[in-house]
Formats: sequence, C-alpha cells, structure tokens
Amino acid sequence: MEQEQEATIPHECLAEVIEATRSYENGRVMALRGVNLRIEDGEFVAIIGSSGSGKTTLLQLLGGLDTPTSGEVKFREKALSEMGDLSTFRAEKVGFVFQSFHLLPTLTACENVQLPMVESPLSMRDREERAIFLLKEVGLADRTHHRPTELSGGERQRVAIARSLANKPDLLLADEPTGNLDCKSTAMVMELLARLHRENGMTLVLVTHDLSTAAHAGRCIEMSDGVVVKERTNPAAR
Amino acid sequence: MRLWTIVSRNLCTRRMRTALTVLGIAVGMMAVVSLMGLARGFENNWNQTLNARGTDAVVNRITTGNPIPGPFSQKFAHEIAQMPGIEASGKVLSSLLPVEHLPMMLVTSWEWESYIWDHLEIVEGRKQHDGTELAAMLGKTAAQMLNKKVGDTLKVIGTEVTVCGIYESTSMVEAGAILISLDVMQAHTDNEEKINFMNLRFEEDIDKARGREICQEIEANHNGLSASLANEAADHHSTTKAVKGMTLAVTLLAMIVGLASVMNTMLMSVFERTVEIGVLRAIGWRAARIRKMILLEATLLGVAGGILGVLLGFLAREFLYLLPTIRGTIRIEIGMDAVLSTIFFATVVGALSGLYPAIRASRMNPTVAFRHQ
Repeated sequence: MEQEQEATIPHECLAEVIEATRSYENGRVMALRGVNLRIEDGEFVAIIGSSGSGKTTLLQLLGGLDTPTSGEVKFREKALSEMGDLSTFRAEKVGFVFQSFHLLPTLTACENVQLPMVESPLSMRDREERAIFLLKEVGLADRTHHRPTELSGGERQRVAIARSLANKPDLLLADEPTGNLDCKSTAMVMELLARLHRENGMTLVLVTHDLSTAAHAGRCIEMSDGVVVKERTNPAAR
Repeated sequence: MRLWTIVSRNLCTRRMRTALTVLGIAVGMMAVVSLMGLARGFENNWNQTLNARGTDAVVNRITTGNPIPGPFSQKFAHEIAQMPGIEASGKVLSSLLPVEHLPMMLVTSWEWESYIWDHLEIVEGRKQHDGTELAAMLGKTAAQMLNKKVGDTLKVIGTEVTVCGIYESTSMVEAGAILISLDVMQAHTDNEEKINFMNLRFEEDIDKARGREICQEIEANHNGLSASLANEAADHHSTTKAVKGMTLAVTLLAMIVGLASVMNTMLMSVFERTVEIGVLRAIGWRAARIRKMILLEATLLGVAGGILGVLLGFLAREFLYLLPTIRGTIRIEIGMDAVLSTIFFATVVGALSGLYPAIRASRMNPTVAFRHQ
C-alpha cells in the first residue's frame, strides 16, 4: 500500500461537529438535532442507523457538501463556514466514496481517477501516473482503460476509492460504500478500506446500516432521528 | 486528461442529439453564408459590368425593393450629358421579362452608337444594322439557356425578333442578357422617351473626388434621381440593399433558432447530468470549471454548426448552379471573410446559448444533485 500519508499525531482532532442542526423545508423536516461529534486523526469511525436517521446528512456536513442550519463544523480547528468556497477544501482535504459509485460513464477508469486532480497544479503526465499508481493499489492495474460499464460493481467501487485518494486527502468519507455490492465485493472493498486505515493511518468515516461492515471500525456511532443515541468503541478493530 | 476530453466525450456520447443540434445551427448558417455570397456576387457582378463598359458613374431613379429601377424621362439625360467633366454617356432601358420557356431574363437596350456597345465581342453573326432594326443579340450564356443560334427567332417584348448575333462579355449579367437597341425597346414596351439607367464616362482628368461632386450636382439638380460612382453603384443598388437586408433578417433568425436549439440541448444535457455535475462539485471542482465545461460544449456545438453551415452553403451554391434558370445569371461568391464571419457568428451563438445552462449547472448544490438520481 502507498506510504505517502504523513505519520498521524495520536488524538489530534481532525474534524469536529458542534451542536449541528440541519433542517429542510423551512424547519418542517429535521435531519439533525444538535449533533456533537469529534473525529480524531487516524480514526476509523462507522456511523450506523436506520434510513432517515441523519447519518448521510452528518457525513455531508463533515465533507463540506452541505452546511448546518445552526451549529458549526470544524476541520483542524478551523470552521468550514470561514473557508469561503468549499471546493478547495473538498478537493484537497476530503475524499468521497458513494454508494452508487458515481463514476462518469464517458471516461475510463484512469480518467475517472484523474477527475479530482483537474484543479491541482500537477502536470497531465503526473496526474496520469498517479491515477495508474492508485488503480494498481486498488488491484485494478489491468482495468485502467476500461469504462465503468465494462467493470463489475466491486471494480467500480474500487475505482471510486482510487478517485477519492487522488489528492491524498486527510479524511475519507464513505457513504454506504458496500450498499450496492454482493458479499464477495463487499468483503473486498471493506478489506481495501481497512487496509488504507491500517497501513496509511487514513482517517475514515463510514456510513452504513450493515453492522458487519461497521465492525471494521474502531468506533461506532449509532444515530436515530437526527441525534447520536449510542457510541461504542471496538478495541479489536483499532 | 484535459477538460477537452470530458467535453468531447459528452458530446460524442449523445451523438444523435449533438448531430441534430449541429444540423439546426448549420441550416441557419448555410442561409447566412449563401445570402452573404449572393450579395457579394451581385456587387461584384455589377461592378464588373460597369468596368467592362468603361463606365465611371451611373444615374438611375431612386427606388427600393425593385431589382430594376423605375424609368425616368430621357430629357434629363440630355441635360446631364451636357454637364462639364462628362466625356460620353449612354442611355439604357432594361427589364426583367419572361422569354420563351424561361420565367425571367434580363432584356436590355442601349442607346444606339453610344460607347456602351464598344466593349462587346461579337462571336457569331453581327450587330444590329441600325438603332431601329427589330433584331436581338444574345449573350453567350443567354443563347445556351434559350438554345438559340443566329438566324433563329425569339418572342420577346411582345413581338418576334430575329437573333442577329451572339456576343461575349466579361460581365455575367450581360452574358445572360438579350440585347436590343433602345429605340426598339422603348417603342415596344410603351416607354417612349423613357430610360432607367444612364451610364456616364468622365473626362480623363476627373478624379474620384471630382466625380463624386458631379454625382452630387446631378442629384441636386434632378430631384428623384440617384447618381453614384461605378465602384460604389452596387452599394446603392436596390437589389444589393434588398439582399443585404435579407441577409440581416436571416442572420437574426438564424441567431434566434441557434440560440434556442443549443440552449435546449445544453439544458437537457445539464438536466441529464445533474448527478454527474453534483459529483464533480463534490470532489472539488470549482463552479467556474463547471461553467467552463458547459460553455465549451455549447461553443463547440456552435463551431461545428458554423463549419457545417459553410460547407452546406458551398453545396447549396453548386446545387443552385445546376438549375437552368439560375446558372449563368446569379453568382454566389462565398469569400473567406464570409466563411470566417459565419463561423465566428455561429461560435458566438453557441457560447451565448451555453451561458444560462452553464450558470445553472455551476450553481448546483451537490447534495440536491444526488437526490436527483
């Protein structure tokens, strides 16, 4: 696995959600109700809960995809609300993995992985080399020029993981990454994510409703009706 | 990977829609470039005709919307011919008339023994014996179109006339015309003492500025008449004005159709790619880059439409030249300036059409976009 990640400082706070609420439709729908969450550098956190519990909304706030109605989200002690355009934050600090992979169907695997690097100062050649390197890391060295339609579900998700790592993010956010996969692919993807965390010290926040998937995480947060209802650690996974 | 890669793949993926949009713009641009070529062709043709005759200025009645100006009394011609600085003059009466199987031909008549006759090269037969002979000379193209040779008869201006000769002229207008003497034309078309053009040749020492002054004097002394230098006459000609007006109208129409067509395509494309655009925003693409991507797609459609439109314009010209009624009478000169300005215009139309979809796409919230799937 790549050894590019800088050594992590134990217990340093990477991201923090403070008293965050998120409402929709003029407050008629409350997705989050005063949530507090602290993610430490190098942690692997799973957020579980039933549909509508607010876990995806919480993930979107952490990744700067959405802003809280009230409360605050901080990244390395700096409030996201003070960062202005969050595109740069998302491009440089965060990697996203989605349930539906969200690969661009017109591009090859290699080109999809290069997408986040379009804003980076890297040369075209360097971008391509890094994309090929990452695809090799996720076990898809022989699929670099395949389009998403030519790949299996598991392979697509691995391309999406490679894409999320393109800009060497500090935080990897995965929203139901195995939700659309069969058992074999699920195991493969979870092993890949666990390896990223274990070998590179990658901070990982994973949203799932599958307890066996959540078991890979060192800390598990359970949500219900927009609030954190339970939190437990899993020393075996740490 | 460049932004171009994504842009071109997006356009290529929806091939039929891209092709139809490009074709929509191309048809409009074809009309624009053809009309520009028609206006240019007419201008050049007219200039060529006057140059071939050695004419320095033309006088005619001020008219609009009619390719042949209305007749005016030739008594003015005598006064004008006497003006200082004018070496020679030639009266002309022309009309567009149906001849034999052709719906419209230029029948022109010239003042007998005026300098205008001098430039004709008779390739077969002879010139009329005098200004009263009921005979016609045919331009070489006119003879081919009518399938007539010397000695044949021809029904024109309501009477049978004999073809006495066939001439060659460097002017396309003259090569496609039937030429009779002025007196015969006036007598047979109820235009006694009437003409609709007067050709003027200046004395040798008259420069352009003085020539313009003479033209102004003519206009000042003869209300309702227009006088212009030969190289500027085409610009003042009502046909040129009409074609240019038509070009402008078609250009505006093409712009509206092009704008609507590309905007519709791009809005549909943005709508269909809502999730994709949301993903690009999520992984850190700036709003400006999303705008650039959509604008590039729209601009590319415009460029392709412009290029195809120009090619179709050339094809349309060749097709029109195959038609017997058009071949030899109309010249469509599509110059490099028309080609470039048409492609530039189509590019601007494409870019403008992409503005709104681009702004809409760039303002897309990723979380809202994900809910679209």
